Amino acid sequence: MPFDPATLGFPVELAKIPQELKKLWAADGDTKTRASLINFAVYTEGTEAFAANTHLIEEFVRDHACRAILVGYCPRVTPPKISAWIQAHCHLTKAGAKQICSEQVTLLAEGVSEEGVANALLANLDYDLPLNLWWHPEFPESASSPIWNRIDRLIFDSTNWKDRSEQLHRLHLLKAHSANRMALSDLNWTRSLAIRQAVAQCFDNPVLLAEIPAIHRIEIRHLAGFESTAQLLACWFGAQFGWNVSAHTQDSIQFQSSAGTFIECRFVASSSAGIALSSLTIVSANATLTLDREMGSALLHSRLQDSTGVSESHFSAGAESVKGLLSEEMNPGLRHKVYLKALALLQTIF
Amino acid sequence: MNQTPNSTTNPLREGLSNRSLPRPCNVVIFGASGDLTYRKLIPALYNIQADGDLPVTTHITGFARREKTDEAFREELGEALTKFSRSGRNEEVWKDFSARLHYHRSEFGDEEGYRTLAERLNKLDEEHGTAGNRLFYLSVSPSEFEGILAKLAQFGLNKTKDGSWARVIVEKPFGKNRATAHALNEMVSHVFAEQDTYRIDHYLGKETAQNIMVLRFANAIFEPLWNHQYIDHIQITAAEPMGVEARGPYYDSAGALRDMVQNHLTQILCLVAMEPPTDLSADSVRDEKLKVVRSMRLMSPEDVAKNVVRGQYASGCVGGKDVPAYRSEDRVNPESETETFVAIKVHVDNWRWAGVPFYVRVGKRLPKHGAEIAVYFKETPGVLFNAQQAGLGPNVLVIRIQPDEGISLRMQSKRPGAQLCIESVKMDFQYGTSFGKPSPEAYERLLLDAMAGDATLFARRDEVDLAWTFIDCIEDAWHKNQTPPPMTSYPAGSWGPKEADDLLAADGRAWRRL
Repeated sequence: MPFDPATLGFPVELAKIPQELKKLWAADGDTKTRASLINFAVYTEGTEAFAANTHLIEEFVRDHACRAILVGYCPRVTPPKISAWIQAHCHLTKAGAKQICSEQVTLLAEGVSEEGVANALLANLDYDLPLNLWWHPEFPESASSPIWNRIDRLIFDSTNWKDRSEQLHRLHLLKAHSANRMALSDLNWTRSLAIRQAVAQCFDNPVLLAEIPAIHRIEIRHLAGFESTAQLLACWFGAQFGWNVSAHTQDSIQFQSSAGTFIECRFVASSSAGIALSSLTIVSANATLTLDREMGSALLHSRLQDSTGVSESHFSAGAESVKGLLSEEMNPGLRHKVYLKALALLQTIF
Repeated sequence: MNQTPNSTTNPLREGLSNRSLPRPCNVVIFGASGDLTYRKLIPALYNIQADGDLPVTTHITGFARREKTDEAFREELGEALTKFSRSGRNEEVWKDFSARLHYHRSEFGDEEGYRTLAERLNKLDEEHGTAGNRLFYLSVSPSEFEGILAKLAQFGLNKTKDGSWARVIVEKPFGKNRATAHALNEMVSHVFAEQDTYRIDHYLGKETAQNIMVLRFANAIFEPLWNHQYIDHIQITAAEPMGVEARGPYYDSAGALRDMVQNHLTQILCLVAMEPPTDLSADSVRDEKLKVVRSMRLMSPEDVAKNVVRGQYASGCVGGKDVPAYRSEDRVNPESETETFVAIKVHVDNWRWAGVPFYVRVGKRLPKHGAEIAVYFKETPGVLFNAQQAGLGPNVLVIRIQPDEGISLRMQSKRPGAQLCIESVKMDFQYGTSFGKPSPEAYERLLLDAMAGDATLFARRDEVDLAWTFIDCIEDAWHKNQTPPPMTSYPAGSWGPKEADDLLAADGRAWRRL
């Protein structure tokens, strides 16, 4: 989409952003309330995604009051300059009397160094609030930018990684630089959240729980392009069940349990479902659990066949949209730790 | 190092949602023609669905006496939803939701009605995979409990199949005193086990009530000060401008003490005063609350005369409208001695709260609607600023339960200018504006919890028993005593009787104006 500055609000001088934001709120009197619980920065390269990201931010702030900072970095432009715009995204409260607003600052950084962009971003954070940075490009080779040790939550989508091994290496570098404060939010991992929650609920059933040592086959059907989502899901099972990777091919992983048994995990690409993960089957000695989702359905359907018969259930299929995935990531929890365990196992197949 | 999973814990649960998830079930509402169903329960279930949290195969059956078809029931509920749902009515969500609503006409004592209900629920189980999970909501007068529970047992509706559950939610009033509460508990316990009995107190489902524990135990700055060394006293207020409306007969037999203090305000007091629980399980939290109720000093008739004020509203003006006296309200005894206002000085006799009074007040026909907890900290020594400017006032932390749920902190600040002039300022946090989205209704949270089997926000039998013991002392002093303390009067639209102000004035304190 061509870059249209009119969609970004009022142009302002970079050095005067705080004052201009104050003026923006003062002008609206008592009818609007500014709300902010986090800094939500979106870091992109170029200006092509400005309009789409502004729209996404407008939707996102309805549920997550924040200061949003949209950054577009164009390194090879001269002369170097940083242009800025500000705008407010407002929505009515339940009572309808007051509008709740979040502010968006857009920075277009042309020809400046990475450090220069980072400084401009850091200078415009809402003070004392955590920084959630959604990093769109590939990770940089070095962690020299001052931004990396200021991030509280780094959001990214590993589905887009071209060289997964290299990106993972760089991610570890950045993580090490952040002195472990930075939480990792991989949207690729969030994509499997609903299926993980559903399968976890199914394993609350003591009959199925007792079958864990007897699992010998897993099959995951995924949309073409979402192989990594399926692999992460498989490695989650491996990490949580205490399995190691013993072999792998492009469309399978063989795990080995601590008792020495082998578990075959197969990935089947499917273009028909239109859903990143459309089905999961877990087969053990005495039970078969299937979870699947049909296109257009907001539900996951489970079918458990065991020695006592067949039982079926439905679960929420969760978010598929980027906005939905981002919203999920704003919920705090212990996912980070579990993600790192799955990632560590996944790393062994790169 | 890899570990073989323990055979009793589910390793897949690690890192996922730390709250229990609701399971598909059949919800049966007894008293489905009542106000609560239309105003609260159905809007709550609808909003749970709209938020994507209602398990998809959950069905809701209304059980009531009036002749009605499923369609007519759905139509009435649809209209009610437009009025009472916090998120309005989305036609797509409503279409899906309304298909899950059913109406079952029967007298509460009619055996045939229960036999056909059992058949209907079994059929829904078969068709929708609800696996025999049942949640019965008794939104009826307590006089109906016994009959309904006996019939549920007679037709095996309280029995669970393998891996399924049957739970009952009981609305207040849970008894009229300790003896009747005990009898009611006994009656329920013959049909449902304690872990399947959910005594609902909607105050505990309110976001701010849930936030009390978070405020206290997730912030480092409050808990060290949360004791008799730093806190002077605590005020808990529940005020409403409404009269008894259509509840005249019930209210006249209950009164403010039983209607509000025994349940809502005692529960709130417990959350404010309790020790940190060992974990967040239902029983750990309720164990700590129980210790607080046990520490509430029981009062002799003389103590009641000194520490409790009861009042009844006379005619007056509320919100610009003239309103009648309580005794002139519809279906209220013209010589009624029922209190519509009560103020109590509660002592919690334990190490943390020794010497710190909890002033609790509740009243009808007060000028404003509001419920809050105000924690008054001790004043700074009378030197430096306090020496120069008398009456600066203490720091006050206010937790607003309703409306405008939030927290504010009053502190002293220098007014700008060359002169040293100190003024009280308020730091204010409001849920509605800070989080940019409305809090769910209390019933939403509580229904979800009941479907998930999480009883943390429901009162346990022993809590109810002990709360009644405290209340009975006061009721007995009022009604079984030769020289009971007088019933005071206050004009509707005022902040209660003068005697309530005197209660605090005697201690050199004053009620907070909401």
